[in-house]
Amino acid sequence: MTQTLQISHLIKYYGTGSVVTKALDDISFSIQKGEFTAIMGASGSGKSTLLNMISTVDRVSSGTIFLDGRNITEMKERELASFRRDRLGFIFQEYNLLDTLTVRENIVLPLNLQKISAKETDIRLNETAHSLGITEQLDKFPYELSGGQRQRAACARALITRPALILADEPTGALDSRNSKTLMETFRLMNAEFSSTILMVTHDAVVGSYAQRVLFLKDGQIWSELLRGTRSRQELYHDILSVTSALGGDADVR
Amino acid sequence: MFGKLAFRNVKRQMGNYLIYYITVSLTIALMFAFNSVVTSPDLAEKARSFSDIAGGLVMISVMMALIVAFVLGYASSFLLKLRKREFGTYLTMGMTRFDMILLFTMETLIIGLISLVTGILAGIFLYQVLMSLLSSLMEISYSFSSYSLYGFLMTAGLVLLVFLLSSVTCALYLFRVSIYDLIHGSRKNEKPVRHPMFWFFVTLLSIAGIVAGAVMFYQEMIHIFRDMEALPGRMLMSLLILAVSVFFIHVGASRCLADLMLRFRTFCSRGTNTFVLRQLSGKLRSNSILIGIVAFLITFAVIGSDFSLLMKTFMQSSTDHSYPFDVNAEISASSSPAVSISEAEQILEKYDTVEDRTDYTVYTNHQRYFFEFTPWRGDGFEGLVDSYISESDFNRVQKALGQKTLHLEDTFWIYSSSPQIQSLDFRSAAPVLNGKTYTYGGMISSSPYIVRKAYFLIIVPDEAVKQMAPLLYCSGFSLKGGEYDIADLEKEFLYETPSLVSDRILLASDYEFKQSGWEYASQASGIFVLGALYIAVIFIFLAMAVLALKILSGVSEDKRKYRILTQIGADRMTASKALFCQIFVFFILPFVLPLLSAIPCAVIGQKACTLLGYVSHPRAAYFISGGIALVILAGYLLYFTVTYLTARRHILEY
Repeated sequence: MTQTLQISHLIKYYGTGSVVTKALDDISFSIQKGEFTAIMGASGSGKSTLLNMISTVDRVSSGTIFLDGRNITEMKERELASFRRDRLGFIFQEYNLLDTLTVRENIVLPLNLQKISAKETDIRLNETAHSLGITEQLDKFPYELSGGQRQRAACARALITRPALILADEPTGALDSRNSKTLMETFRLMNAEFSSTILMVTHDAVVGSYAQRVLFLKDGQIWSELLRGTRSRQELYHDILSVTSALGGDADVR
Repeated sequence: MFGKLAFRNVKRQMGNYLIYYITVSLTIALMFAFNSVVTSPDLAEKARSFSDIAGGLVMISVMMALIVAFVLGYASSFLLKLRKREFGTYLTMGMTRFDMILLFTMETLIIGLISLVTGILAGIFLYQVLMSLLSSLMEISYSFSSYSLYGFLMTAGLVLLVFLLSSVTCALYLFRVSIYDLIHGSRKNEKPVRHPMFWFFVTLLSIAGIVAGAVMFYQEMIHIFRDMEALPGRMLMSLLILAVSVFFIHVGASRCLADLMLRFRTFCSRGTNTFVLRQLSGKLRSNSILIGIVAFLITFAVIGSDFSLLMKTFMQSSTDHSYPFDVNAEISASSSPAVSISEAEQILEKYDTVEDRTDYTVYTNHQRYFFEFTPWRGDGFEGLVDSYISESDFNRVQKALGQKTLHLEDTFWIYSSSPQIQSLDFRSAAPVLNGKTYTYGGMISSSPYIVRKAYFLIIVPDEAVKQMAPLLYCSGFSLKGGEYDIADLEKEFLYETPSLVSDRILLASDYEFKQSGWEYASQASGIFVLGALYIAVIFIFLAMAVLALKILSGVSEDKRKYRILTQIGADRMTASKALFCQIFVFFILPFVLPLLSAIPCAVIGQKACTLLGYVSHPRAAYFISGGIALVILAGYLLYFTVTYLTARRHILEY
């Protein structure tokens, strides 16, 4: 298997002078192509900081991040913008759909930015919308959709550019348990059908149990790691609960 | 406590308040300068016609203050919306609505006081600039002009009125708005435009209305110049059509333009085009009425300033037209004159050197033969008789004025300065004079008023007037051009005469002075130009400020959208370009057509110039319209730049 993400000795400090916080402390791990990984941990453990480093919205203090074979910590701002556009997909807790655009326009906007032809855009849109079951909603505006439908539209937008890595930041944070389950099935579908590599940050043990691999962060360091292997989702869920209780019990159980 | 908080808030919000502050300061500076001109003791002393018009100027000043108050009230509510969340937080912290209104009023007052000080300081300088400009327009000498306390008090009163009204508008909003709306109100869903095709049809209809209105106005103007009995009804109708069309073309375009463009899929699939069009669609739709009003104000400003400056040019040209000589005498042959022509020459010599004197006589045969070819035929016009001038007298006048002479043979010519007479047909006239029949030779148009007491003159060979009676003894004096007091000179020629309509005794004169006419034309048109430009400048300032503040009031919502745009892959340059396009279109939409209205203004003005015979300024209308358009464009670009940079700082710097 090829490596999509390779993180080595990642350190991030915040603040200056006497008030300096070490948010990430020598983190190293890698993610293979087509892997679905969850990052869990208590508040302040460094989950969001790690996601910000990988998504290139923040700079590292030291260490390297190789994404698709390229060291993103050395890229210039302009290069990063196009790299972000072409190689990364984002799914946020608040959906971050543009409410003035229709669902169709929201989904194809990244392709427009990549200057993909109208014909190719149509093909990709139909394929993605069909797979995620939102064909009927394409001409609606986001405010006309339910929370679950909005999040699926956001998934479609992240997926349509065929990114090397999809980053999801608490994607079920604004959803009820039924919609959370549907979204996780969608993630599994994305992972299986499109071979998407997914890195998801979550608090929710149930949501985390959908991943193939779970990394636990504590005080900016990788504290533990769980691999599903041949185990069922239920078994992984119980293991996650055990680890989180050992961590301090900061996990939602729905 | 509130005072300290208000000061801190003003300091912290200076970036947001910048455009508001600039607008208020400039408006106060203009108000102060204008009010100082209106109440200027120096001007009242120097310009004889000023006192007649000053009352009207005070009215303009008060009316403009009311408009400014209304618009600034509206504008400050945008600023309020920028800070909705902050005010919502104050309320959740336990602050009462009264406290909040007090806080916002104090902030407005602080900005108002700073603006008043800077505005008046700028106004003190602007007043001298305005006085110098006005002196030049009125052809009077400029010296440092003293300030009147009344002008200052008037400005302070008007500024107080402006702030009271705008504070009341904001207080009403803060009093009614719910805490939820303050905290969550910034995230509202902009619904798509309904019936874009209907609004497209309204736009097309308005374009047709503008073309039809302009053509109708142009034709009616020519008609009115040529037909003395023409009523201005159709012209007023054409103006109404133009005004309504200008408003609706902008409302219609705002409601359909972006939505129609969204139908072009290839165009929309390029970069951020869809995003920008959707942004514009929502913003233009919800502000379509505002855009219509702003466009109307700018059109009014462009046309008003164009025509006021054209009128000034025309009035000055008309002086040369109305007074061909420095002193023009027309003495009735039926009564003995108060001052004879030879006595007049002696009086004139006391003031200046008479370089030349041209005497000519207007004759009549007491018949109304030529009036039968005019609208003044039949009953009610019995007092009008044909007026003749001999060929030799006419040629002498023409030579003195440097104009072409005539060789008549057996023809007669018609001489008139009026466009209405020039449109009449005298070709079938064949008067028999002194036993000989004369045929029509032609019409002399675009000519000065060599006789003011006759509608038109019939130029005939010398033998034709031999048996006619003199009607008027005329004379034109050319003076060397020395320095003297024209008012004193005029007094020497005045005599008392009973009024024809009442028992009053009037002062009259058989002599008219070019310098006096020039002074009156310059002063009256100068004040008219000042009033028109004042209205135009205020309108344009307000239009630009409203647009700028409207854009800035939406920055928090735009910031969220542009953040998403960059998160999904737009680089900084792409996002900047999208924001530029969005603000530029919003800013330019209500501006393009009003600015282009300078073109028909120039064409109509030039035609009016030609019809009135003012050929001495062949391209004046084009220069004036072009100049005004450029000045407005420069101001507009300045406001746009400040708005764009401020918005970019708020939206894209995170």
